[in-house]
Amino acid sequence: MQRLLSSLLFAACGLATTAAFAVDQKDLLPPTEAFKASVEQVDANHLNVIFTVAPGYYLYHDRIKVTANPTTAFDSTFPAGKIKNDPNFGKMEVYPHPFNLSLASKTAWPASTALTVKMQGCADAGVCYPPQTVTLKLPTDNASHAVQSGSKKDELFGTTKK
Amino acid sequence: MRPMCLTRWISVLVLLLTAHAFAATALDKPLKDLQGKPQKVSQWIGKPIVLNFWATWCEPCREETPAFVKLQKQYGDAVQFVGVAIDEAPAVTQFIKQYGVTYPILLGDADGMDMMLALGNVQGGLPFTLILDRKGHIAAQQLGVMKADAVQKALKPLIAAR
Repeated sequence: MQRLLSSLLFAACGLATTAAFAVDQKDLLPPTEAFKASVEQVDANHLNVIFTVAPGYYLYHDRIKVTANPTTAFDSTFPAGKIKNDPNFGKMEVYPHPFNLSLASKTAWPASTALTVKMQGCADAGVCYPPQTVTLKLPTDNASHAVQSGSKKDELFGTTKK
Repeated sequence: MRPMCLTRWISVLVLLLTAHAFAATALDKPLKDLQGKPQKVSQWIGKPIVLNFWATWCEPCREETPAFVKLQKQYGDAVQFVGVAIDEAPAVTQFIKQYGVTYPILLGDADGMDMMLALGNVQGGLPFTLILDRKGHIAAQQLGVMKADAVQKALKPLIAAR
Protein backbone atom coordinates (compact mmCIF):
# COMPACT_ATOMS: atom_id res chain seq x y z
CA MET A 1 0.00 0.00 0.00
CA GLN A 2 2.81 2.31 0.99
CA ARG A 3 4.58 1.39 -2.23
CA LEU A 4 1.47 2.24 -4.26
CA LEU A 5 1.09 5.58 -2.47
CA SER A 6 4.76 6.30 -3.06
CA SER A 7 4.37 5.54 -6.79
CA LEU A 8 1.33 7.79 -7.02
CA LEU A 9 3.13 10.65 -5.28
CA PHE A 10 6.13 10.20 -7.54
CA ALA A 11 3.88 10.37 -10.59
CA ALA A 12 2.23 13.48 -9.15
CA CYS A 13 5.66 15.10 -8.75
CA GLY A 14 6.28 14.67 -12.45
CA LEU A 15 2.84 15.88 -13.53
CA ALA A 16 2.59 18.88 -11.27
CA THR A 17 5.94 20.29 -12.32
CA THR A 18 5.29 20.02 -16.05
CA ALA A 19 4.95 23.51 -17.54
CA ALA A 20 2.29 24.11 -20.18
CA PHE A 21 3.47 27.36 -21.78
CA ALA A 22 3.97 27.63 -25.52
CA VAL A 23 6.50 30.36 -24.77
CA ASP A 24 8.34 29.48 -21.59
CA GLN A 25 8.39 32.47 -19.25
CA LYS A 26 11.84 31.43 -18.08
CA ASP A 27 13.17 32.05 -21.58
CA LEU A 28 11.64 35.51 -21.72
CA LEU A 29 13.33 38.66 -20.46
CA PRO A 30 11.34 41.17 -18.44
CA PRO A 31 10.58 44.16 -20.70
CA THR A 32 12.84 46.40 -18.62
CA GLU A 33 15.76 44.13 -19.55
CA ALA A 34 14.73 43.49 -23.15
CA PHE A 35 14.54 47.23 -23.87
CA LYS A 36 16.66 49.89 -22.19
CA ALA A 37 17.12 53.58 -22.88
CA SER A 38 19.73 56.03 -21.67
CA VAL A 39 20.73 59.55 -22.73
CA GLU A 40 24.04 61.18 -23.59
CA GLN A 41 24.72 64.85 -24.33
CA VAL A 42 26.63 65.35 -27.58
CA ASP A 43 26.86 69.15 -27.26
CA ALA A 44 24.72 72.02 -25.91
CA ASN A 45 22.00 71.50 -28.55
CA HIS A 46 22.25 67.77 -29.27
CA LEU A 47 21.25 64.72 -27.26
CA ASN A 48 21.36 61.04 -28.14
CA VAL A 49 18.87 58.61 -26.70
CA ILE A 50 20.65 55.28 -26.72
CA PHE A 51 18.30 52.30 -27.07
CA THR A 52 19.54 48.85 -26.17
CA VAL A 53 17.52 46.00 -27.63
CA ALA A 54 18.34 42.46 -26.50
CA PRO A 55 18.90 39.84 -29.25
CA GLY A 56 15.60 38.20 -30.17
CA TYR A 57 13.55 41.31 -29.37
CA TYR A 58 12.51 44.39 -31.35
CA LEU A 59 11.02 47.85 -30.83
CA TYR A 60 8.48 49.44 -33.18
CA HIS A 61 9.66 52.74 -34.70
CA ASP A 62 6.14 54.24 -34.67
CA ARG A 63 5.66 53.47 -30.99
CA ILE A 64 8.67 55.40 -29.73
CA LYS A 65 7.69 58.82 -28.37
CA VAL A 66 9.99 61.27 -26.63
CA THR A 67 8.87 64.40 -24.78
CA ALA A 68 11.00 66.86 -22.82
CA ASN A 69 10.37 68.59 -19.53
CA PRO A 70 10.73 71.59 -19.36
CA THR A 71 9.13 71.75 -22.80
CA THR A 72 11.80 72.14 -25.47
CA ALA A 73 11.22 72.10 -29.24
CA PHE A 74 13.44 69.56 -30.99
CA ASP A 75 13.79 67.49 -34.15
CA SER A 76 14.16 63.72 -33.85
CA THR A 77 16.29 61.73 -36.27
CA PHE A 78 15.86 57.97 -36.27
CA PRO A 79 18.29 55.67 -38.08
CA ALA A 80 16.82 53.36 -40.72
CA GLY A 81 15.34 50.28 -39.10
CA LYS A 82 14.37 46.93 -40.54
CA ILE A 83 11.07 46.42 -42.35
CA LYS A 84 8.94 43.73 -40.75
CA ASN A 85 5.87 42.44 -42.53
CA ASP A 86 3.25 41.88 -39.85
CA PRO A 87 0.23 39.89 -41.09
CA ASN A 88 -2.17 42.44 -39.57
CA PHE A 89 -0.24 45.70 -39.31
CA GLY A 90 1.47 45.41 -42.71
CA LYS A 91 4.98 46.74 -43.26
CA MET A 92 6.34 48.09 -39.99
CA GLU A 93 9.73 49.60 -39.29
CA VAL A 94 11.35 47.89 -36.30
CA TYR A 95 14.68 47.95 -34.47
CA PRO A 96 15.89 44.45 -33.66
CA HIS A 97 19.25 45.89 -32.56
CA PRO A 98 20.67 48.77 -30.49
CA PHE A 99 20.34 52.24 -32.03
CA ASN A 100 20.64 55.94 -31.25
CA LEU A 101 17.88 58.51 -31.61
CA SER A 102 19.28 61.99 -32.18
CA LEU A 103 17.46 64.96 -30.64
CA ALA A 104 18.44 68.39 -32.00
CA SER A 105 17.22 71.56 -30.33
CA LYS A 106 17.67 75.09 -31.73
CA THR A 107 18.31 76.30 -28.21
CA ALA A 108 20.63 74.78 -25.62
CA TRP A 109 19.08 71.90 -23.67
CA PRO A 110 18.41 73.05 -20.08
CA ALA A 111 20.55 71.14 -17.55
CA SER A 112 17.36 70.20 -15.71
CA THR A 113 15.89 68.45 -18.78
CA ALA A 114 14.09 65.21 -18.12
CA LEU A 115 13.09 63.14 -21.16
CA THR A 116 10.08 60.88 -21.04
CA VAL A 117 10.61 57.99 -23.41
CA LYS A 118 7.72 55.70 -24.35
CA MET A 119 8.44 52.52 -26.28
CA GLN A 120 6.76 49.29 -27.20
CA GLY A 121 8.21 46.09 -28.53
CA CYS A 122 7.94 42.34 -28.80
CA ALA A 123 9.97 39.15 -28.61
CA ASP A 124 10.58 37.11 -31.75
CA ALA A 125 9.14 34.19 -29.77
CA GLY A 126 5.66 35.66 -30.39
CA VAL A 127 4.98 37.71 -27.29
CA CYS A 128 4.52 41.50 -27.09
CA TYR A 129 5.01 43.75 -24.09
CA PRO A 130 2.78 46.62 -22.99
CA PRO A 131 4.20 50.10 -23.66
CA GLN A 132 6.95 51.08 -21.23
CA THR A 133 7.75 54.58 -20.04
CA VAL A 134 11.15 55.62 -18.70
CA THR A 135 12.33 59.02 -17.50
CA LEU A 136 15.88 60.01 -18.41
CA LYS A 137 17.79 62.87 -16.83
CA LEU A 138 20.67 64.59 -18.58
CA PRO A 139 24.07 63.32 -17.48
CA THR A 140 26.11 65.66 -15.29
CA ASP A 141 29.35 63.71 -15.55
CA ASN A 142 29.55 62.80 -19.26
CA ALA A 143 28.12 59.38 -18.49
CA SER A 144 24.72 58.37 -19.76
CA HIS A 145 21.99 57.72 -17.26
CA ALA A 146 18.68 55.98 -17.20
CA VAL A 147 16.49 56.91 -14.30
CA GLN A 148 13.79 54.31 -14.26
CA SER A 149 11.48 55.72 -11.66
CA GLY A 150 8.47 54.01 -10.17
CA SER A 151 7.61 50.37 -9.88
CA LYS A 152 7.95 47.84 -12.67
CA LYS A 153 4.21 48.07 -13.24
CA ASP A 154 4.28 51.90 -13.43
CA GLU A 155 6.97 51.71 -16.09
CA LEU A 156 4.98 49.15 -18.03
CA PHE A 157 1.73 51.02 -17.87
CA GLY A 158 2.87 54.60 -18.06
CA THR A 159 1.02 55.01 -21.33
CA THR A 160 -2.14 53.18 -20.47
CA LYS A 161 -2.94 55.08 -17.28
CA LYS A 162 -5.50 57.79 -17.76
CA MET B 1 8.36 6.38 0.44
CA ARG B 2 10.97 8.85 -0.78
CA PRO B 3 11.21 11.62 1.81
CA MET B 4 12.58 14.12 -0.77
CA CYS B 5 9.71 13.46 -3.11
CA LEU B 6 7.17 13.75 -0.32
CA THR B 7 8.59 17.17 0.59
CA ARG B 8 8.58 18.16 -3.07
CA TRP B 9 5.05 16.89 -3.51
CA ILE B 10 3.83 18.82 -0.45
CA SER B 11 5.58 21.98 -1.75
CA VAL B 12 3.94 21.56 -5.15
CA LEU B 13 0.57 20.96 -3.51
CA VAL B 14 0.95 24.12 -1.40
CA LEU B 15 1.99 26.08 -4.49
CA LEU B 16 -0.98 24.77 -6.47
CA LEU B 17 -3.40 25.57 -3.63
CA THR B 18 -1.87 29.05 -3.30
CA ALA B 19 -2.15 29.52 -7.08
CA HIS B 20 -5.82 28.50 -6.91
CA ALA B 21 -6.40 30.96 -4.06
CA PHE B 22 -4.71 33.75 -6.04
CA ALA B 23 -6.68 32.80 -9.16
CA ALA B 24 -9.97 32.91 -7.25
CA THR B 25 -9.12 36.35 -5.82
CA ALA B 26 -7.94 37.65 -9.19
CA LEU B 27 -11.11 36.50 -10.95
CA ASP B 28 -13.19 38.37 -8.39
CA LYS B 29 -11.59 41.71 -9.19
CA PRO B 30 -14.00 43.99 -11.09
CA LEU B 31 -12.86 45.39 -14.42
CA LYS B 32 -14.86 47.80 -16.54
CA ASP B 33 -16.60 46.72 -19.71
CA LEU B 34 -16.81 48.97 -22.77
CA GLN B 35 -19.89 50.67 -21.32
CA GLY B 36 -17.94 51.52 -18.16
CA LYS B 37 -19.85 48.99 -16.04
CA PRO B 38 -17.79 46.91 -13.55
CA GLN B 39 -17.76 43.19 -14.37
CA LYS B 40 -16.10 40.28 -12.59
CA VAL B 41 -14.72 37.31 -14.53
CA SER B 42 -15.98 35.13 -11.65
CA GLN B 43 -19.59 35.75 -12.83
CA TRP B 44 -18.99 33.19 -15.60
CA ILE B 45 -17.75 30.45 -13.25
CA GLY B 46 -19.97 27.41 -13.69
CA LYS B 47 -18.94 26.69 -17.23
CA PRO B 48 -15.44 26.38 -18.71
CA ILE B 49 -13.90 29.81 -19.38
CA VAL B 50 -11.28 30.83 -21.93
CA LEU B 51 -9.74 33.97 -20.45
CA ASN B 52 -7.64 35.80 -23.02
CA PHE B 53 -5.41 38.79 -22.17
CA TRP B 54 -4.69 40.77 -25.32
CA ALA B 55 -4.23 44.24 -26.85
CA THR B 56 -4.80 45.91 -30.20
CA TRP B 57 -1.11 46.88 -30.45
CA CYS B 58 -0.12 43.19 -30.13
CA GLU B 59 0.33 41.46 -33.49
CA PRO B 60 0.16 37.86 -32.16
CA CYS B 61 -3.05 38.79 -30.28
CA ARG B 62 -4.63 39.91 -33.56
CA GLU B 63 -3.54 36.65 -35.14
CA GLU B 64 -5.33 34.43 -32.62
CA THR B 65 -8.56 36.45 -32.23
CA PRO B 66 -10.42 35.16 -35.35
CA ALA B 67 -10.03 31.58 -34.08
CA PHE B 68 -11.47 32.54 -30.68
CA VAL B 69 -14.45 34.30 -32.32
CA LYS B 70 -15.11 31.18 -34.38
CA LEU B 71 -14.74 28.83 -31.39
CA GLN B 72 -17.13 30.87 -29.24
CA LYS B 73 -19.78 30.59 -31.98
CA GLN B 74 -19.09 26.86 -32.29
CA TYR B 75 -19.34 26.14 -28.52
CA GLY B 76 -22.29 28.46 -27.86
CA ASP B 77 -23.35 28.38 -24.21
CA ALA B 78 -21.12 25.42 -23.34
CA VAL B 79 -18.01 27.63 -23.00
CA GLN B 80 -17.50 31.29 -22.17
CA PHE B 81 -14.70 33.22 -23.85
CA VAL B 82 -13.73 36.46 -22.07
CA GLY B 83 -11.18 38.97 -23.30
CA VAL B 84 -9.26 41.35 -21.04
CA ALA B 85 -7.74 44.13 -23.13
CA ILE B 86 -4.61 45.80 -21.78
CA ASP B 87 -5.54 48.78 -23.88
CA GLU B 88 -7.70 51.86 -24.28
CA ALA B 89 -11.44 51.86 -25.02
CA PRO B 90 -11.53 53.56 -28.48
CA ALA B 91 -8.96 51.18 -30.00
CA VAL B 92 -10.70 48.18 -28.44
CA THR B 93 -14.15 49.25 -29.68
CA GLN B 94 -12.84 49.62 -33.22
CA PHE B 95 -11.09 46.24 -33.03
CA ILE B 96 -14.23 44.44 -31.81
CA LYS B 97 -16.22 45.79 -34.76
CA GLN B 98 -13.48 44.95 -37.24
CA TYR B 99 -13.02 41.36 -35.99
CA GLY B 100 -16.68 40.68 -35.14
CA VAL B 101 -15.94 39.77 -31.51
CA THR B 102 -19.16 38.67 -29.81
CA TYR B 103 -17.82 37.49 -26.43
CA PRO B 104 -17.39 39.94 -23.49
CA ILE B 105 -14.37 42.21 -23.50
CA LEU B 106 -13.23 43.94 -20.32
CA LEU B 107 -10.77 46.80 -20.17
CA GLY B 108 -7.64 45.86 -18.27
CA ASP B 109 -5.39 48.90 -17.86
CA ALA B 110 -3.18 48.56 -14.75
CA ASP B 111 -5.84 46.47 -12.96
CA GLY B 112 -5.84 43.97 -15.80
CA MET B 113 -2.07 43.76 -15.46
CA ASP B 114 -2.42 43.06 -11.74
CA MET B 115 -4.85 40.28 -12.57
CA MET B 116 -2.51 38.83 -15.16
CA LEU B 117 0.45 38.90 -12.75
CA ALA B 118 -1.67 37.21 -10.06
CA LEU B 119 -2.61 34.52 -12.57
CA GLY B 120 1.04 33.69 -13.22
CA ASN B 121 2.15 35.86 -16.15
CA VAL B 122 5.11 37.45 -14.37
CA GLN B 123 6.71 39.17 -17.38
CA GLY B 124 3.48 40.76 -18.56
CA GLY B 125 3.79 39.52 -22.15
CA LEU B 126 0.78 39.17 -24.46
CA PRO B 127 -1.17 37.26 -25.57
CA PHE B 128 -1.79 35.20 -22.43
CA THR B 129 -4.63 32.71 -22.32
CA LEU B 130 -6.02 30.69 -19.42
CA ILE B 131 -8.47 27.81 -19.65
CA LEU B 132 -10.51 27.60 -16.46
CA ASP B 133 -12.61 24.64 -15.36
CA ARG B 134 -16.21 24.94 -14.11
CA LYS B 135 -14.95 25.87 -10.63
CA GLY B 136 -12.68 28.61 -11.95
CA HIS B 137 -9.48 26.63 -11.42
CA ILE B 138 -6.71 26.96 -13.98
CA ALA B 139 -6.69 23.87 -16.21
CA ALA B 140 -4.25 25.20 -18.82
CA GLN B 141 -2.42 28.40 -19.60
CA GLN B 142 -0.42 29.66 -22.53
CA LEU B 143 1.84 32.59 -23.15
CA GLY B 144 1.95 33.40 -26.87
CA VAL B 145 -0.59 32.46 -29.54
CA MET B 146 -2.91 29.64 -28.44
CA LYS B 147 -4.12 27.86 -31.53
CA ALA B 148 -7.66 26.57 -31.95
CA ASP B 149 -6.67 22.90 -31.63
CA ALA B 150 -4.87 23.56 -28.33
CA VAL B 151 -7.93 25.40 -26.98
CA GLN B 152 -10.23 22.57 -28.09
CA LYS B 153 -7.96 19.95 -26.56
CA ALA B 154 -7.88 21.78 -23.21
CA LEU B 155 -11.65 22.36 -23.23
CA LYS B 156 -12.73 18.83 -24.14
CA PRO B 157 -12.37 17.22 -20.65
CA LEU B 158 -13.75 20.34 -18.97
CA ILE B 159 -16.91 20.30 -21.07
CA ALA B 160 -17.33 16.57 -20.42
CA ALA B 161 -16.86 16.99 -16.63
CA ARG B 162 -20.06 17.73 -14.75
